[in-house]
This record gives sequence, C-alpha cells and structure tokens, in this order.
Amino acid sequence: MRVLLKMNIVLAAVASLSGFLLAFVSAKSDFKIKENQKKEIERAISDLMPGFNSFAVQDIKSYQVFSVFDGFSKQLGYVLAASGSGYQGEIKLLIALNYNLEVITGIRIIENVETPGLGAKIADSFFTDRFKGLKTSAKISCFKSQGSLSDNSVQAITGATISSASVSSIVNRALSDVVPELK
Amino acid sequence: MDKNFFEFKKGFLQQNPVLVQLLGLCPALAVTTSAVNALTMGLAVIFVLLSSTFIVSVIKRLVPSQVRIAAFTVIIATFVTIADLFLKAWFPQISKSLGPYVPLIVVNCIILGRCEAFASKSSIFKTILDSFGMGMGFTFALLILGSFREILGSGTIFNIAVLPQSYQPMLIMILPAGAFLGLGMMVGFMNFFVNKKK
Repeated sequence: MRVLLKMNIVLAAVASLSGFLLAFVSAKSDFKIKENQKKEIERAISDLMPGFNSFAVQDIKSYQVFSVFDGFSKQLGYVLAASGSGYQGEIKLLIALNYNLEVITGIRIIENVETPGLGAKIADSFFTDRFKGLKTSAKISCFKSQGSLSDNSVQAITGATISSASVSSIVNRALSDVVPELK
Repeated sequence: MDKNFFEFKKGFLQQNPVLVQLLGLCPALAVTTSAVNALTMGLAVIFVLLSSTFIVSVIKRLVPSQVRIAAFTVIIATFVTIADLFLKAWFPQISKSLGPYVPLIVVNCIILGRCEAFASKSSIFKTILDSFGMGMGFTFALLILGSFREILGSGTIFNIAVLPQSYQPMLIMILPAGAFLGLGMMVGFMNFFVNKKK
C-alpha cells in the first residue's frame, strides 16, 4: 500500500513539474514561432513581388489570398497560399500571379517534408523558377524528360518525379479554385 | 581522476553509442544527409541527454523502481519538447530540415539507456561526465557520417562546395541506401580498430 502511494505521488509530481516547465517554455516561444511564420510569409511575398509594400488578406474557399500593393497603392498582383499532399507529407506553397491573373510570376515552397536531398529540392529556386511565366488559363503539366516538354509544362526534378508532380498539381488545383472567383 | 576521465572518454571509442553499441540508429541513418543536420541533431541529443540524466541522477533515490521507466520517459519527453520548441522559435530553418526527428529523440534508446543503465545508479558528477561523453560520441559519429554522405552525395560540406563542378554527385549517398553503406563501413572500421587493440 505504501509503495503504491509512493509510486503515484512520485509520478504525479514528475508529470506536473514537467507540465509547469513546458507551459513556461511554450509561453516564451509561442509568440516567437508565430512571428517567424508571419515573417516568412512576408519575406516570401516580397521575394515573389519586388516592390511590395503592403497586402490585404482575404479567404477564398480554403485558400488565403493576398492582394499585394506597392508603395503607391497600385496593385502588383495576387499571392495565393495553397497546400496539398506531396510524396511524404504536406507541401505548403505560395503562388504569385500578375495583376490580371493571367500569368504566374513565381512560386515558393514554404513547407515540405519531402526526402532530404531529393524531393526537398522542390524548394530550390532552380525548380520553382520553372513555373515563372506559365499561363493560368491552361493546366500545367509535369514531364520527366526535357524532350516531351510542351507549352505550359515544367520538367520534373531527377529522382523526385512524384514531389515535382505534386507541386504542379497543387498549383493547378489552387488556380482552378481561386482564379475564377477573383475575376 | 583516471576513472572519471574514463567515464567521459568511453563514449567516443570503446562504447561509442552508434558505432559500437549500435543504439539510436534511426536518427543516425535518417538525418545524416548533410553535415549541418547531423551536427544540430547531435547537439539536440547532447542537450536532452545531459538534462534528463542529470535530473534522473538527482531524483534516483526518490523514484520507486516500479515506475522508474515511466518517470524517465516523462522527464526525457519534457526536455525533447523544450529542444523542439527552442529550435522552432530561434532556428526555424534548421528545425524544418530536421523535420520530425527532433520530437523523435523521445524514443532514442541512447537516452533511456543512459538513464536506466548509468544515471539511476551513479553519482551526479559521474553522470554528467558519462552523458557528455556519450552525447559527444553520438555527435561525432553523426558528423562523420553526415559529412561523408554530403561530400559524396552533394559535393559539398556545410553547404560549401568542396569538389570540382565536374563531379557528378552520387545520389545514392543521400538516399537511405547511402546511410546504410556509410554506417556499415564506419562500424566495420570501428570493429577492426577496436579489435586490433585487444
């Protein structure tokens, strides 16, 4: 009986001390983590839209849409935050569109858990640059080899075909969901 | 003094957790795609190992043996969560590239192993030496494996190019197969080295 009581008391004490400690650390780091995420979105938008000064957020369906303005309140374009599943988990990305919604001016991967060294390369600029200048009017296709590239298509990363195709299908879905609503 | 120094030093060669005890292989194989990831993982493990074995050693007389594993696990999980939150808040880039492997330090058997096999039976001072040695040994093994894989697989080390542009990176080295190849060679080398001395 005594042992039983002692077991319970010790475990309860250890667990509640750990709870207090974690609550304290979490309270300290929570705002910093949120700030990092916000900063990252701002940095990504300013990279995608040079001359960016301010933005307004609206929700369309399940997407966050940022209308981006320059210093003279002139609209530079739109940035859509989209996500979808990749090879190993969720991929979150931003798609920049010009002001009349016809051309993709760039994309940026903000979160992915793809294979390090292979699929994770979808976040590198050599791949995201392949989306620059694509049209929003037609579907974007993703090909393995350079030979079969056609209009409005991107070449997949060697060894990461599924991750590459996931990016293009996330972009396609976001565009077909959001662009008609904005027009 | 010699005895104390041995507690520290044994983690590097004689009882290296990865290369001799073959513990904690999951993170050792998974995060060693680059030297930076390997080093950060090593440092996170050193932090968790030191803090949790220290606490375990302090409270070793208070914890009834029936609930010791449960208590150790709670202590380990607490420090792992702290390490995870810390990396997320102050090193978001690194935290992202390590993905789920930081929270998974909870189930890293090196830590529970050191708590159970050493810290719960030894003095606080010896525990600190032992944990520091084991943590450094783990980091050392990961760093070598990470550098080896990064050099062959990407031609860089700490993201700085070291091999000429004409070098065609061996993709296999950053794939899981490369981790097994690299680790196998290191364990073989280690066995040869340690056995030879006997």
